[in-house]
Amino acid sequence: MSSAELVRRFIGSWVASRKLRSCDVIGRGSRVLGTPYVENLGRIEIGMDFEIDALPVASHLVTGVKGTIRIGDRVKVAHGVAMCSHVSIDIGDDTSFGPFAIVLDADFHGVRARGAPADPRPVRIGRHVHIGAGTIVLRGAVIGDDVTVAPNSVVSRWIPSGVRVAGVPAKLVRGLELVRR
Amino acid sequence: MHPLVQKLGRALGANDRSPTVLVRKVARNATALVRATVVLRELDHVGARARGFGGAHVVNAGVIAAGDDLTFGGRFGVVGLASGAGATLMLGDRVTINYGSFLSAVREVVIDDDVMVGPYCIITDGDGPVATDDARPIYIGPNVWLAARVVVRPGARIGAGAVISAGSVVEGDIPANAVASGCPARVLRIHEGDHGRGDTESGKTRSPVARIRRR
Repeated sequence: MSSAELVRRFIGSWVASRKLRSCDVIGRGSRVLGTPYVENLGRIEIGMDFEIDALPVASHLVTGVKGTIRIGDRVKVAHGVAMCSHVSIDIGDDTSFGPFAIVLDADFHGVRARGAPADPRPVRIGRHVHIGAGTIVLRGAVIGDDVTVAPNSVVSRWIPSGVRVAGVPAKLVRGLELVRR
Repeated sequence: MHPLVQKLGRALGANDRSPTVLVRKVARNATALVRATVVLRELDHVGARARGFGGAHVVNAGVIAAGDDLTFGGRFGVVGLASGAGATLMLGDRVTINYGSFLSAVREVVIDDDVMVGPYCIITDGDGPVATDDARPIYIGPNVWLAARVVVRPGARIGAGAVISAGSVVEGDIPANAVASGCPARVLRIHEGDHGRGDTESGKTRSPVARIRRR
């Protein structure tokens, strides 16, 4: 690696840590494109080599007072991604998000009574998962490791490891034979 | 903190333990009131207390009217409101439109009171920017909740209190108080309509939707 490249990386990482300064923990080597929107009333922990794009549309990480977002190492987030936590969102290592993906662990209000408070449920996304562009991950979703979620799917339930899912709501399209264990 | 300030903060949904959050919420709401008047200046009618938490892109070649307490996001994706020549786009009272949504009319789109439109929803009554033969009016009843990224196709009629789940595509009729999902959206169940939000007696409201219905 050339010295110019090293300097560029160092500066990029410093800029990223400034732009993500509302996060409680941020690992080394992060990179941002544009300025992501971070509103942290709870806790946000980010691992090493985090990459997040905010151009042309800002990605946002938002936590409520009791919300937690935990992001593993080498996670890549494309532009326009929304993550909003009222209890907890856990994201494993090497996971990537396509543009405009949405991850929510609450509906913001009751389904029947719109004035009622939301009933949040934790979201867990495993390692080596790819979340396709425009996919919506709803409250209570648990996604295993090595999963590919096709673009524009909606995930709201448990998805086993090593499969590919697609659709509204997301169904298995391939990989029952790949399911480990 | 002064108890009155705390009370005001709670009314605005702030966390009263943190003064910064409270101040931020109050400031944001104040800015939103001002921003809405600027951003929605192209509309033919805007009711009282419209708030805009981000930009909106308005193309008004027909009629666009909104009732009181309109709220729209736009911080992460601009809200689009469009009406073609001779078309009407009507929004009732207390309508909430989240960021990135696009509402377009080439004939007629009527969105009734207390409707909540989630992020990146697309509501168009035609398949293009001009009225074609397949352009059919859309009606969305009071208290409907469209979750994230719902697409409402031409000719859709959604009954009062219905819930359309995330990522659905709505075609045709959805009965009142239904919970619908999928593309195309199918009714999963009917919930008992208990919404604790506002009075939707159409005769009592002064919204443009109510006025149109009385005609």
